[in-house]
Amino acid sequence: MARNDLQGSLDLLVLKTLAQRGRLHGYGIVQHIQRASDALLQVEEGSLYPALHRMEQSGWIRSEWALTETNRRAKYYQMTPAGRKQLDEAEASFEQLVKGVRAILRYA
Amino acid sequence: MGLISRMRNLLRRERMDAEIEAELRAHIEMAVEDMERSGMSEADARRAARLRFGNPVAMRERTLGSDAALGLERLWRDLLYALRQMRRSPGFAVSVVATLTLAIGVNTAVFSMLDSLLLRKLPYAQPERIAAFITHEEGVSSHSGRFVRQDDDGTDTATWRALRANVTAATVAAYGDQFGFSGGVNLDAGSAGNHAALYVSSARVSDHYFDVLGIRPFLGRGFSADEDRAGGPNAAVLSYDLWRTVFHANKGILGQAIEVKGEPFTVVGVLPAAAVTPQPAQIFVPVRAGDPEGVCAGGDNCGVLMRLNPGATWQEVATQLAHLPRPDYMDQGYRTWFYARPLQQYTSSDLRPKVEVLMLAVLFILLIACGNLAGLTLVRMAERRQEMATRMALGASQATVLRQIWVESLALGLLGSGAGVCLAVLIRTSLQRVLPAWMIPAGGLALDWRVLGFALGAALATSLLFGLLPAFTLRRLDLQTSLASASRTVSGGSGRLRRLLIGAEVALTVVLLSAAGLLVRTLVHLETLPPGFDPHNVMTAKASLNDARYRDPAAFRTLMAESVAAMKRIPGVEDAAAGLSTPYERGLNTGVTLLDGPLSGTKDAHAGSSAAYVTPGYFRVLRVGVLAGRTFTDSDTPTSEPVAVVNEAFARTFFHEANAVGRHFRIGGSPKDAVAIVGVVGDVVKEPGEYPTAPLATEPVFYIPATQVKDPSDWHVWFQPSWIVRTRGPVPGLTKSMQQALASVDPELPASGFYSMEQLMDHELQTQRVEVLLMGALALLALLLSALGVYALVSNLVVQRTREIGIRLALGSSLGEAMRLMAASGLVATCAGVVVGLAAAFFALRVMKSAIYGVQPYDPITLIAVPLLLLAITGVAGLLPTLRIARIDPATTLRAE
Repeated sequence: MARNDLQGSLDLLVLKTLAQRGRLHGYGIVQHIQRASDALLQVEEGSLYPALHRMEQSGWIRSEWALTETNRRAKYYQMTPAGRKQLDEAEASFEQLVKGVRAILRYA
Repeated sequence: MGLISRMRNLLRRERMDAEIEAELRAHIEMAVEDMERSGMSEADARRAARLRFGNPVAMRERTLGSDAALGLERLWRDLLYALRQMRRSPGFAVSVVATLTLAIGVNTAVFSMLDSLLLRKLPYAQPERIAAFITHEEGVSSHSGRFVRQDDDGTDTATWRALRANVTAATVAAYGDQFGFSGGVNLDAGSAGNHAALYVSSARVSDHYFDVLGIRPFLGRGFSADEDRAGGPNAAVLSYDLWRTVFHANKGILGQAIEVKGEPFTVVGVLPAAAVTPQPAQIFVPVRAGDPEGVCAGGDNCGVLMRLNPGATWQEVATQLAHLPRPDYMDQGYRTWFYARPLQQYTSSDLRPKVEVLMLAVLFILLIACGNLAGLTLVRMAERRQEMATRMALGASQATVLRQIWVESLALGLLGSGAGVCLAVLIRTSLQRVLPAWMIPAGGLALDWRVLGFALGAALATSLLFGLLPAFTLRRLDLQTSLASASRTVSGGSGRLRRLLIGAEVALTVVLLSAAGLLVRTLVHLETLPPGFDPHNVMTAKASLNDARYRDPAAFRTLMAESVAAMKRIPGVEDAAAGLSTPYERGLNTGVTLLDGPLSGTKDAHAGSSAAYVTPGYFRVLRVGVLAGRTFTDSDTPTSEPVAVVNEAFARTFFHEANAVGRHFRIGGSPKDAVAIVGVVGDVVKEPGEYPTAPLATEPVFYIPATQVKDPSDWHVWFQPSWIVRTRGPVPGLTKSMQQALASVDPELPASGFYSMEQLMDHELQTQRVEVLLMGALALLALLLSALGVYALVSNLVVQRTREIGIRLALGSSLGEAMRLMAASGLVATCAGVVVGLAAAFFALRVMKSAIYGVQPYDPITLIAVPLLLLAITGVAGLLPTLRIARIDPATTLRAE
């Protein structure tokens, strides 16, 4: 399981998730990432919430309390325009990283 | 979000914390729901969720931790935690703050001295443009045959004229030196004041003097060239204070005549209120440096200051100085160079080495304090090991724990620094009262931003230093064992470290104590020199006869005779006399030419000696022993044979025998002043003027009768005579009676001061007294801190090895043996420190050679007494904690942990 490889990419994954799913709470983000990656990626809750908090401070996402389907109060996150810009940048640099790593691996 | 929201977060931490907790709880609930839906029981689901989730507290901490704005809030919490810790174990906090206060207090106080003297700008306008004129001499002295290299800050009339003529790149001004008690004149405020004669402090300065200092007179001007030449009109400049008090701030004072030294002087200026001059004076009169019959004629009684002119450079000044002709009074064997020394350097040259030594001493104390702080911290860290391990097990990161410890150290450091600054202010106030005036720099001791910055910096440095130690402890923290045992064990390594620190502290203390010891021995030596007279129950009064009314020898003679008679009539007075100088005082230096004896006719026939005039009965009043011949009587008149009485040193030095009665010598150069020696008296201890070797010594002196003084102003322009009375015991109101006796002969002659023999000796030994006070205080402080360090070391050892001692006692060891064992480690460290300290002292004490008299730097008495004292004090300090062993009950300690 690529549990620890998420360090740099956690922001990217969270933003992408929110871009695709609109509004989600933390638990929902964890579930989505797990499902969408075919259980290849498992987000540590211990890393997720600090990251969410940090991204909210940076202004990339915003939060509000709302009720879930099961009438439970949970904190829902949504991407902001600044967050969308950040997502585009992060996606672009991630593509570059992957291209570069692939090139090196092929070279050897 | 941004800064504003981050600031807002600061205040809503509680709310945030609650919110995060709610969020996490919701997360768990949703996970549990999902797991239940997929078939797990609620209990199992909850447990699984919790396991996945990890430590909720740590999670919350980490989430909050990612909030940068909370950093400030975190510091605040760390601070509150630190304060709680301090309240829980006040011993540690108090010890640390007390140690810091003492160390930083004395460091700041001495630094303030250093700052005022060397760093702070002098209180003149553009002080970097002011310099003192220095003559550097090098060569073989034609008198002593020895090689001499020295700097002379004096000038004679020819050199002064040359300076004025040649040096155009700077404005030069001269001033008269002051020494002894001669720095004042009689002032009669006339119709302006209440016609009472006053004695006021005075200074002699040339024209342009105030320009050089950059002082613009508040009223009027400084002296003009006409007023400063020989025979020119008498002018005076007043200080603001004098003008305000004696002359009632009379704005029309300019042009008015006041009576100074018995003559009318026209007031031409008043200085501004805040004016500072190198020689504080209430009245300034012209020095007339160009007058070949004036005060500067001798060659080393006047100094020169200069201010660089606008647009000129020091290079130009140096070139112009190089062209000056060589002074006449200079020894023919010397080569001379002239240069301008920056004023700050010049004024601080005497005090600088002393202050530097003091600074070194207080740095030693700071090091010793740091050693103690390190020891205290190591023990504390060992005590808190369990607590730190618990925190880390509960999820705090190493960084969090370290940060909290640093905040605690910083808080203690700031407290110590604040208290230290308060202590420094207290010390400074007492220093200003205790130090002699010449040791206090112009403008007082500073407490400016530099000094405060120093205090803060020192505190931060020390607290960071002893805040680093826990970091090392933490690294080796084994969570499991630390949690298990609450033992306050200090590992072997840090025990060794502490003993090393104690050794170093003791070594530094040895050096300080030895230095203080040498100074104490010097002072004792000087104070116990055989005085050569009986100093008990003797009182003196001085008055300035540098006065137009006493230029006439007849008037002077009458004054002497009548005033001494009046003094004798005071009830309680056994005997009275008068003389130009008293014991302990400096005498007038003058040249003599020996007319017979082994040295006459040789080049050594011209020599220098100290001189004084005395009334008959002077030697009797002081109870100076008469070794040969006679002393003066009423038969020595202006018309009888010119006679002199010399002291034993004079006789032995110049005639190579104790009995020089019948020999002749000339005073000064003129053949009219040949005198015959009629008596030899014992040596009296005084401040040497001719051959300065120590603050108090004996040197050749000759005395002539007051009645045979031909030109009183020759003597009185430099010194004030003293009236000496001997009483049978303490007489109440004696000084008032003496003033009245003087006034009964001349109502317009104010006494300038009254001094007992003890006070005169104190005045001469001021420097030594201050040195002993300061160095002694610092050495004792170092001793105290070292003793505290030893006490803490052994005390911790006892606590830490309580179990071991219990076992020993249970197995039959005696109490004494157990105590000795514990005290041994402290003793070993101390002894090692003493040895190292003595070795260091051997090198360090050599620099003190110029400050000590009558003892050698390797004085055996000091070097034996100091280690003994140290071992005694630290021995007691090491033994006290071992007394606690007596209270150890082996049964209890073996059982408990």
